[in-house]
Amino acid sequence: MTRAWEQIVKENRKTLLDRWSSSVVAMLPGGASHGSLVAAAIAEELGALLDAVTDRTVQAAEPIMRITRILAVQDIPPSRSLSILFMLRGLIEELPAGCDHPCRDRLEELTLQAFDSYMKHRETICQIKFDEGRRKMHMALRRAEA
Amino acid sequence: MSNKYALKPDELKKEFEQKKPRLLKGEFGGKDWWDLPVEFRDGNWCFPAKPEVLDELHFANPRKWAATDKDWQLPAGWEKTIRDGMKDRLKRFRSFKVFMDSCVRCGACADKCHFFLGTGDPKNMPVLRAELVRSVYRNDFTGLAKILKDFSGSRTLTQDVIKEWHMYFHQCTECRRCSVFCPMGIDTAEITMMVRELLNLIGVNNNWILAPVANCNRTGNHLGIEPHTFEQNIMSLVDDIEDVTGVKVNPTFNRKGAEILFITPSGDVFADPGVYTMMGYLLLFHHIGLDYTISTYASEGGNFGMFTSNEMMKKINAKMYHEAKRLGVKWILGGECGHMWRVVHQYMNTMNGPADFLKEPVSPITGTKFTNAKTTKMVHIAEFTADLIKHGKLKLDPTRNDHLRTTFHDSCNVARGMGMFEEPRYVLNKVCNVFHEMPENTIKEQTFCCGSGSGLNAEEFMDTRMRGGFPRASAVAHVREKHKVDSLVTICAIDRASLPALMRYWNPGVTVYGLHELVGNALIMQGEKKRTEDLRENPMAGFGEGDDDE
Ligand code: SF4
Ligand code: SF4
Repeated sequence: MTRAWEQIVKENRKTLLDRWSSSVVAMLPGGASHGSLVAAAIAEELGALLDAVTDRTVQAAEPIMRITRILAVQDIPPSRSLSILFMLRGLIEELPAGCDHPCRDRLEELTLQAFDSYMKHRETICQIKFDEGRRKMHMALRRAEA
Repeated sequence: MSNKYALKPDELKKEFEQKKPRLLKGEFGGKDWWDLPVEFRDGNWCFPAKPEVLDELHFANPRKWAATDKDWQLPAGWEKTIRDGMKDRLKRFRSFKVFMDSCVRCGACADKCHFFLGTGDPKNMPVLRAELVRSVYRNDFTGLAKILKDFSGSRTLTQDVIKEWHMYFHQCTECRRCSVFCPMGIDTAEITMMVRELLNLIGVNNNWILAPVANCNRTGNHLGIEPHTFEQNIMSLVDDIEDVTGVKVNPTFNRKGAEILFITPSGDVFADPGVYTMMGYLLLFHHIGLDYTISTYASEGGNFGMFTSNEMMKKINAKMYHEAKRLGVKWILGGECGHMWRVVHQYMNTMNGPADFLKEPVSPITGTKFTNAKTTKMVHIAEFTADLIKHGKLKLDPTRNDHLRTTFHDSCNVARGMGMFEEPRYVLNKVCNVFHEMPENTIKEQTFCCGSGSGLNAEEFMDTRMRGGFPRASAVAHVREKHKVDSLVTICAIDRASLPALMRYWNPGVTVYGLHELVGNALIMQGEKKRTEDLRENPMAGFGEGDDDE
């Protein structure tokens, strides 16, 4: 009997996570170094996300929010940032159980969640730029608005 | 000439091969580290200076261009300009020469830079950042390249090298954190200063630096505010103070014969949240009855000349002493700023001094002699206030800051540039009740930069700023999670401008304050009305709706 993909992923968690983190970190400019804080933060968040992939009782929103927050300001295009769950799919496919329909559905669902979250962070950046412009002109705007 | 300390070429080669970090060994898929391409894209480059700004400053190569252009329209003979510029600086600045020659590639600095930690990009390791210019230096200025041809890492100057310099010397905020860990005392910040000078010689520049420089040149401050507007802004803060406290403070402007000239970064006069810090100063001076004046000519403490060239830094700084002399004050008191203090503390006396027309600063309230400011004749406000508190000269009610749970961000230039760690903390602990330090390796001498210093505070550079500020934000997140800290206090105008953005992105809910804003909240002023709001007109603890007073 084939065991559920979730079970296989859980059994291979450590290897999978190491390979996944390495591939994500390697997307950063210069093939980013693992000695950096950003690489460590990415690895930590991917761990939490991997747990949420296989277990729906684990909250996915928080790790997705955190990891997309890091990726949304890195020097890489959005398409690459959002390919992280496709990378995971490739890694799972190499496992004995493969990535079957339910597995693919789960990863697609999380990819779309990640897309929403990524966009939210970009919107925050946009608002921050706007606010910063206003802060800089604080006294002038006060006079103009008086 | 043989020297027992100098290695022979074959020994040197062995030593180099053994010691140089992996990154210098060319393990980049068969490429050398400098072959990794530089790609300018939205968020990783600052807009170049407008032609009119360069014209105004008589700087080289005014033109319209962008870092994303293929052709940067460098001036004819630019290679010679860079080489001559380098030669000249190697002669004039001994530190530059020493820093080019003495790196032993121990790698101690590699993981100390906030830009490396926040991007993971190897070229942001200080050792590699310096190597970007050292490789050209080796090729053009030393015999080393010839002796150690196959590995010395020398290369010729091309337009791609200039692009790389522009990218990576604008991902260094001249914070000097790396220098704390370098056994050879190499200060990459000074290398960055030199490279930015060289880039300016051929018109490769940053508008966010040069526009304020041009404004300072013209009106005395970064935003180019004219004297009457400068005064009007401050008088409008005087009205705000009266609204919140019921007390009318009375600053004077350009008053000859005042005892003290007060100079602060102009962000305190026009920007949010700097203006609240300004309100704090004004309350403090009124509280102690200080005989001071504010100049509408020396209307900027900051000095973006420091990020441009030695000569420009000198020129912009000169107005401080000029104005002190014209007004006939005894000494200068300086507000909360970072790089202003690096310029004042490290360079002012030798650049524009000696200011023998000024007196050794003495506090008119406590009689304390500020012997550390004997040569510059300029005292830091945190020191001045700490001394007042120490002598019991301020009536303070720290519970008025009970609506804030604070931590303190050491600005690089004040902490590492001046060695000032304790005075701001002493003041902060006297004006508020809740204070928690961030982790030890992120404060004081090892403080992490905000990621936007040295003129990199441009809006279009926001993504890179968020990356560079990631280590600082992570340290704030730590005290936020552990101690529910919600207020980040700082004594630097660039921090007050840049940290709100950084906090909003990484730590929403954390607000940025200037130290003297909190002093202003806590001061019990003579004749004040019942204080229920802080200087931002936010309710103090016990006065807000649904207030949780704990
Ligand atoms: S710590 Fe100093 S000597 Fe060591 S690699 Fe860095 S700059 Fe060179
Ligand atoms: S001075 Fe600061 S920003 Fe520049 S390389 Fe050193 S640590 Fe990085």
